[in-house]
Amino acid sequence: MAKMQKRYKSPKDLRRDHRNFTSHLAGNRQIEFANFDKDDAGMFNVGVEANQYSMIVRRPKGRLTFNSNLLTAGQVKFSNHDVSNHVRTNMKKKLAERALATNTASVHSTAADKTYVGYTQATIIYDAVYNMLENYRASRKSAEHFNRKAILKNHLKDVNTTDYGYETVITWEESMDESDPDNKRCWYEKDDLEFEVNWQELRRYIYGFMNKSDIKNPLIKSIVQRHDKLLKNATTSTNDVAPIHAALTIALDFEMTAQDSFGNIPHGRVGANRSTLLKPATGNSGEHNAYNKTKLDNDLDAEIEDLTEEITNSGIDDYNTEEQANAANNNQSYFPINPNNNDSWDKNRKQKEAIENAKRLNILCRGWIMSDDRKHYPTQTNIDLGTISLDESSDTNNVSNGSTGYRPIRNSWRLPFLSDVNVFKKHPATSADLITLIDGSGSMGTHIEEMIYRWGKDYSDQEKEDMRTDSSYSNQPIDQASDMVAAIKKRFPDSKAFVFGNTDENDPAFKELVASIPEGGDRRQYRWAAGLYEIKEGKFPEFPSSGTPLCGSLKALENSFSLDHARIIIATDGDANQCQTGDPYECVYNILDSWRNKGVRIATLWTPRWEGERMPQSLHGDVTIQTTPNKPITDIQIKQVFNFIKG
Amino acid sequence: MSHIKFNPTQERKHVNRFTQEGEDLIKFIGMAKPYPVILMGPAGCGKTQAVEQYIKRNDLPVEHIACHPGLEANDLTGGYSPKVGSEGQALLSWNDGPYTIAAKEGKVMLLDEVTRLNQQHIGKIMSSQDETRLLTNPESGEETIKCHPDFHVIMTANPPAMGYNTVNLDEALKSRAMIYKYIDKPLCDEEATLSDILGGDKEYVKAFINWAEDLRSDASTAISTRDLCYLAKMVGRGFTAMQAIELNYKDKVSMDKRGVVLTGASAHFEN
Repeated sequence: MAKMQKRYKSPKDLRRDHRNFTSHLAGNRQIEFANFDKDDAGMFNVGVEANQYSMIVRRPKGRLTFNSNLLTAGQVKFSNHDVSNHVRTNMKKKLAERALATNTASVHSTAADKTYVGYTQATIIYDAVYNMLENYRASRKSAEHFNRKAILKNHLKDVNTTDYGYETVITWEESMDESDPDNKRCWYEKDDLEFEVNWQELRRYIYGFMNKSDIKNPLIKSIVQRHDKLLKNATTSTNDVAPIHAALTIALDFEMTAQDSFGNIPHGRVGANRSTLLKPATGNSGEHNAYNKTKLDNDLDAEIEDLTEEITNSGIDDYNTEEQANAANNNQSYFPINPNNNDSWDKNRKQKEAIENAKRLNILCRGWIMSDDRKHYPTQTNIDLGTISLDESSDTNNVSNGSTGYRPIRNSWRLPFLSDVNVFKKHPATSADLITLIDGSGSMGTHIEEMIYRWGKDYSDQEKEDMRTDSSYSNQPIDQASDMVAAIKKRFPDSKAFVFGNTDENDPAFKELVASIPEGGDRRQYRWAAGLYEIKEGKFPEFPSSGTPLCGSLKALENSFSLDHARIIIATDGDANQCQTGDPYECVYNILDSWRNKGVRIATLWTPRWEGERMPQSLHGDVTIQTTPNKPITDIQIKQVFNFIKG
Repeated sequence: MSHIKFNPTQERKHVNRFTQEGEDLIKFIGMAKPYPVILMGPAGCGKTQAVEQYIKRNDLPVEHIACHPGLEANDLTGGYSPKVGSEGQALLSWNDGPYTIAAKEGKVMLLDEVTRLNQQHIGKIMSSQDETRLLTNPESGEETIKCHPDFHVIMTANPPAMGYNTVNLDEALKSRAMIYKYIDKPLCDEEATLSDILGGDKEYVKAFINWAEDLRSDASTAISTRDLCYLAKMVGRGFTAMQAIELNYKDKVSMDKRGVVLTGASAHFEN
């Protein structure tokens, strides 16, 4: 007998495991992995970078140590990115308000109520300082959590020895493009001023590897001089709010000192003032050097302190309000964050996990399989089913066709004890359902020939004729999907296929649903409920105009089939919508994730409408098979689907 | 790696320790008497332990049924069973099931895993749980039984889906419950219990708790109190933590999450 060889994990396996672990700890937060070449060092900071949209894990390519991987996982786990994001938004809002009140020229009036007004300068500083301090705080916290002092030790070593560290340029653009107020990009009316910032110096200073006197970059020097005490506090404190507070103060100070003083530059003096700030204070005079002063003016200091307090509190309030509503929707208690109580942040973090977990059980989306008593249309395939090489030598579980699918039960040798006379049992995987769902939303191309009649009232005869003859209307996503169904049905006649859309008003299930909703109830409950319309061989059902209520459709399947070890193929061209639970991406993910425990495997047949379309985010299939827009489906795509079915 | 080392001593006995929420729940169950109580929740979160603690503390008589789809009416409310008569002839005589006994004698009826019970039985016991408190066994020929004032039905169940092969709980049964609580966090004071089991090794307890916290950030890997206690007990019996996790827990989660469990474990424990 051949000796079993132990299989060691490859670095690739380890990397994948750690990525999975990190994503797992991130929970519902969006996280991206960006690995850079070592040659690109200097452009990026190693660590977890939080911006408005997501958390980006930036690390050099190549093999990383276990502790380094853990550090990243911990930095993601303990990050207060959500809170910081609210504070950051409020900072921009506040600065816009302030600028509007003091100097109307600097912000376009259309931007007054916009939260995304272009305060890029303050946000660049906020992001940079916050990420540094937060990474440091989180690394101390993860060393404690994982009970490994080495994590922190290695992290400090890494900061000390590497030259990584990114540089940014803070620029004032010429002026905003007033001809396009809808563009919402509202810049200061200041002329090309650039600050080159080498953030690595600040990072090394924060970690204690650099003295104040060694700092060369004028902006960093100013920051360090003006906020020495604050930075020291933020680096030693384990308080969760400290990095947010410090970053906000520094960003506000920069904005209010440098920005405001530059606001007074008359036009025409642009060239002369370029980068004045970057020069040392001596030898210069005038308001432009305000930021070079080592200390804040008392008035300004007090104002910044008040503003910081106000913005931090309002950001935390916004976060608490949002999460409170989230918790209430899921019948969970909520533990609010209190900036003065550090324990509350940890409790909040745990409570939030419970809320996310409860969400998985609290799915409000509903759906039914609609009755078959409806009009059907004959379908014609755009592919020649006869020429498709269908490998019919084995069934869905790669069991050869001669087999009945029955196998001896595993413990048949214990027959006398079990008193079970069924020695042969059908293998669960061969008796499992194979179900294809086709998106019935308008964007799938419901104007194919059969559909024109159904949607007839919208089209004139001439238009119908045009559609029939126009080649661009053939091979629409729905054609491709129904062709795939034809191919699957030919090979696996037992398989089921449904169009999913909204419920049909004439269906008994819909009437029951309407009756169950009290008067004055949420109309979305029946408008958004999902209906499944069965596709028979060569017969396409009539169905109403629909959105993409994928979550409700999945619930309909869950209620009607056992789904153990089932294979599900979802053909769609875009994201799910009409989710009654709230977020369709999350809702679909939660349903599919609970199915995985039953051994269900899911594939997506993505039928994009045009080349280069964005991939839908709400699909979490194990496999994605993509069709070519406006082309018939190919043998390869069919084969890919069959391969998925066979496992 | 020397971040966590544990010298296995003998596995220790532990007493049931509950969190404040668990203690409250035990109190609330008593306050709801004689109206039904339904505790839903994932396996191993301490539902049955809490109910048993309530029964133990109040020293109540109890009938306990673990429900399953194969449960017959005989096993629940009662039925006829063959008996040899005095002259050797076959007789059928009525025997009360545990539910009927509890209703007559005023015991606590603990229906464990009620979402695994067949719908026909649910219908039968329904009217004994509302205000009428009547139980009818027409097959027995008896008149309708008026339930004893102390008769108290307590049910525990796993939610449908999430990998449990259970059915949805009947809405009518839900509406009869005075307490219908979904338990989403462990009722057990895990830190104290693990500390009991591991003989007070604080660092090791902390590693277990932190590891559990990491796993619980996602419902599909959330470890139950029962498994956590098993793991601690296994460590007490001489397994290393990694061995215990490999043997007890790794394969309980879905295939794609096993890497997460193991990576998480190796982050907290020595290989």
